[in-house]
Amino acid sequence: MNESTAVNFEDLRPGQQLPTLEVAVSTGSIVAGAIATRDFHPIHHDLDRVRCEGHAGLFLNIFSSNAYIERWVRSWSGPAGRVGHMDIRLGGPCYAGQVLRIAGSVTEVHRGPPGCLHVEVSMTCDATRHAHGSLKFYWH
Amino acid sequence: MSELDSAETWLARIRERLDVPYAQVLACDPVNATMIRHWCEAHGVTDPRYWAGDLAQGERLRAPASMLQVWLQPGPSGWRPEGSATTDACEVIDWFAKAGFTGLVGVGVEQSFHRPLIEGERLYSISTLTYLSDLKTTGLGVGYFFTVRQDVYCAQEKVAQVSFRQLCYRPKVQG
Repeated sequence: MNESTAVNFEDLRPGQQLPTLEVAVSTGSIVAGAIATRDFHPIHHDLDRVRCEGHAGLFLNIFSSNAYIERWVRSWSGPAGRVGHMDIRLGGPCYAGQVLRIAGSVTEVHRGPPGCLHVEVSMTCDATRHAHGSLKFYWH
Repeated sequence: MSELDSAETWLARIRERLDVPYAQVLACDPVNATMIRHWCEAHGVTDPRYWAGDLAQGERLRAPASMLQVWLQPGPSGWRPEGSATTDACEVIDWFAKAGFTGLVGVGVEQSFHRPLIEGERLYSISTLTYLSDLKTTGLGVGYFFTVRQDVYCAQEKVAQVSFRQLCYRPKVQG
């Protein structure tokens, strides 16, 4: 979250694109994310089990998807902001070996105080739509 | 008992739980710097406040918002602190599974974070089944959509809310 490009809240307008975040998803990152979010469901660490259930491989858990969304928006904002609301619709799974891309833009700017942005977010994994939704992001 | 009677019995049992809050489930650990740093390492978050305790004078460590559910998750043993309820609204997943609806997928999650969580805070949650659909036909198989809301508290203060919609389905027989 210290990858900030020093965004100035006063300059923000609806329609502004956020920089796209790309993450190479691997077996290691899926398992590390699952354990760090205390999600011990076998579909995030047991390859034999997920193959029996018809999946191509291990896939990212939802708590990790949320973590990457927060990393994406706060990498852009710098430490000034905090996520106040996240509404995410889930699509297809994100498998090991795929590239997760998080993109989106500002849809509303409320000057406040407290300043608040509405941001739409879209997550894809290779050609699959992984998730999409919206955030409210407070600017302190 | 006919199959129809049986179906009505287990579904009625789930319907009876609608809008009835479960007892408090206590977080296994307080909000803490170690678990925050593990989460950062796993997800490539490089904020020095989390890695090196790089805080301003008098500043207290604030957890990333999306760690909310991490604090409330049980570990692999299912252990909870003394005084915690051992079941929450997610028990309906077991009831669906026993009725043959063994598949489970997340559909959507809506979270409100009323304020940042601070290192040392101890959380608890009260869960409620807030929605149950009729039997639906989906691409995965027939099943029921349902929503569990978790109201998250620190002492008497509500600090966050999560509504998680999932689908329990009867997997199609593989051809």
